Amino acid sequence: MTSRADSTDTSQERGEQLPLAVAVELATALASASADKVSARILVIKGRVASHYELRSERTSADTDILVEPTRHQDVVAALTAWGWRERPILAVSAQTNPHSASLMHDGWPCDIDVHAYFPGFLAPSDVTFDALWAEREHLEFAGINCPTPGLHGAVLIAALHGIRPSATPGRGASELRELGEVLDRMDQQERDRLVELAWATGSAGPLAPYLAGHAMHLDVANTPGLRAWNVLVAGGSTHAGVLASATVGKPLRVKLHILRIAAWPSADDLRATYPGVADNSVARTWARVKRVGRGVRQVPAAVYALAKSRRTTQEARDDDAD
Amino acid sequence: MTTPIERAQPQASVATDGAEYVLNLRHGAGMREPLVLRGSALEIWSRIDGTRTELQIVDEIVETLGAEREVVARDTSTFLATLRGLGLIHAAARAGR
Repeated sequence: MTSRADSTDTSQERGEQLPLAVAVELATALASASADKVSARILVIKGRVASHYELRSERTSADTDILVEPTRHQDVVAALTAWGWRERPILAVSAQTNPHSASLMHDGWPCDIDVHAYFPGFLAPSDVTFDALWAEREHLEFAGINCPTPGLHGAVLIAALHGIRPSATPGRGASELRELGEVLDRMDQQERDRLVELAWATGSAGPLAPYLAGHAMHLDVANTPGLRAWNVLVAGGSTHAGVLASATVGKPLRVKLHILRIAAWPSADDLRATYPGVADNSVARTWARVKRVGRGVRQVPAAVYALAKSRRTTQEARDDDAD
Repeated sequence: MTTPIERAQPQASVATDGAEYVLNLRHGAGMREPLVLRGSALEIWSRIDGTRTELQIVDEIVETLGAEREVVARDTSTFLATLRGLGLIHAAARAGR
């Protein structure tokens, strides 16, 4: 027999790292149970859900992602905080450009739990999107716990939006979209109709129109401000300036200036979070800010190009409407 | 000792080669990280199914591992007490109340 200590210590007490694949399964179950505890609806998204529907090949995810009904986002975050999880620090400007997501971390776990109230590319109001995905939910077991997930069509939309996202690793997004395309090409007409219906209901028809057109699903979308902001984001790539440009589209001048100010001249806390190597004195902080502004200026052409491309697309859409 | 033992719910678990990772999902249970079960702990854990008593588990472990009964009984008792403390098991009769 082994001793009690050998048998019952937690992985952290034993000084061993919890295997990532195991951690992601357990963290997903924990997130689902925590949401249950506060009677909040969640959907487990991406990762093994996509593999389950054969939308991508099996691979170990680095994190678990859950989409929460928007009004309960903070409740679910609080429920997980009670388990010792805490929000990963983010920059003030990130809170402005992506206010609907929290990455939770825990010292004893090798993965994050990403709690989203909104998934980029679903341009319908987030509660409308969630309800539409929830209406066709399925369940999948994680670590022995039955967790709600989007149905096939919701999972396809999420995978497609994930694949076309501007921050996709070069080559990986394209590879994901190729795999997904094979699934789309095998869909019968009834499934395609349902997919398109859900794309309209969730406001993802616009962002996904070019991709779906490549798979014989042609959507006649209007260029709304939301779609324009999305196009700016995509055209700007993963540059910080591109994200900022997108975040300012359609916003009042006051908000635009606020976002640009905190991006250009971050607080001391933000600087510490972004550049932990910077010495904690005013000279070093000022120099770091100046260098940061320099990097931002170098990214401006990409942001300007993104905005111009978006305006061109909008104008073309208006011309088409006029015709 | 004479009442079957069962696993408390809800709990999440993942089995890998030679180990099982168990997490009590009951809020406030005090488990913030998974418990790792290996070796003889896993032998005992795998026999907690709501039908076996502690004595039956000890008998099976003695037979399977060929270990000394007194040692097995003592270690099993200690291990089960730890699991009870973590809220991971209870007497099966409780389920019927």
